[in-house]
Amino acid sequence: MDDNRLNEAIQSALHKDRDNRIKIERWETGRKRKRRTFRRLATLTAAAALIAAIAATAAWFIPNSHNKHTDESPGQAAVYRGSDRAIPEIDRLIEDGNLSDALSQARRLESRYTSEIKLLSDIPSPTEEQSYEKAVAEEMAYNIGWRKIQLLLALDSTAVAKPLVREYCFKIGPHQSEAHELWRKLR
Amino acid sequence: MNLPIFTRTKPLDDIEAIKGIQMGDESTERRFYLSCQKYFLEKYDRVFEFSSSTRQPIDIFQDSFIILWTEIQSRHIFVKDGRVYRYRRNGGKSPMKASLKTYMMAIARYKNLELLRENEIFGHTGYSSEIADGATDEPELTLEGIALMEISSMPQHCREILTMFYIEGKSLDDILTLRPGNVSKDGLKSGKSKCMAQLKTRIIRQLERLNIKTT
Repeated sequence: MDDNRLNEAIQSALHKDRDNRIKIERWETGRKRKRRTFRRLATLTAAAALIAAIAATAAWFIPNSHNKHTDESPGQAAVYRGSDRAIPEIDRLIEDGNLSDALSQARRLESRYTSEIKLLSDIPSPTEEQSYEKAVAEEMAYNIGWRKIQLLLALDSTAVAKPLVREYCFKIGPHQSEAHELWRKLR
Repeated sequence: MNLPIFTRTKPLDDIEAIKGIQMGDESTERRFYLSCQKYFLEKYDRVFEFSSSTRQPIDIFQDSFIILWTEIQSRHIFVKDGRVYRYRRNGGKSPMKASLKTYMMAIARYKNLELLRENEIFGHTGYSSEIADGATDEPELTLEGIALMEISSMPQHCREILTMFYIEGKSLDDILTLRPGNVSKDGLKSGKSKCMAQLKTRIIRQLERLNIKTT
């Protein structure tokens, strides 16, 4: 075969191969940037949740006329969805040694947040508020899911917990490294 | 405010991915890359019995993805009458039984074995894509496409040296500085010639197998 023709083809293919690799590098950079944004947002969300929890606790102890009545107005009820109490509630059950109850509670809440995430994900052009709500729901589902894993392990359901631990190894979040460590032990 | 991390796109099916890639649509390519990566990371520990200590799973993924991607770009994998077909190395064509991602996992598995073998026994075994499937039809395979396929499955050092020398126009001295693994200029020169000769042999062999005549 004509050697010049072959050389030309090789040159053009080497070019294409290099372009492909450059593209991959670019996509990887984009993906990493996205991860960083997500992490930053998750930190901000966690901080906001913490501030809200502190504010709610403080409001509970500061005596004022508004705290005297126990009825929540429908407006408050709509706003208050228990997101700031979900995890402490599970933690309280764990502290009391009610592991099965804590697990049921974790499962119930996780499923609630998962359906909420799904609903919000199905919105084609979410508003800023919807995006924020989704981020909060994802954060909650993530933290509750991690507690669920701990509870499953404590209740000797290792076979059920194992695939969940594996999932957490690939989920970006504060428990990722713990998940890796746990996975190594469980493997 | 636009929050890109919340955008949700529908999953790509194989036919859509192949058509997009063959049209050079970068957004499809990117989506395909990311979905393959997700799939790979979820499954690799079930596929790899032992993993190579010298390379990270993500590197094996990228090498495998590039092979799959170039097979699609070079139309070794193509769509005809709503079905996905693939050229076999022996020249036959057949409908693919496995999905693209499953096929990529098969490539990854092979790559991983290759790496393990490289660590235990010396020498490179060369990539063979006789992994996934069963014969029919006519896409336009080009000499460039075949060359691309062969380049993507060459040993990494060969690919790098050839790219630096022929595409980036670097001198042997520059390459020697950039690739500290090469001990001498003569060694590098002979390595480059061997890589080029090996690549040409592989392309010609593949043209013969596929019974492709070039002018």
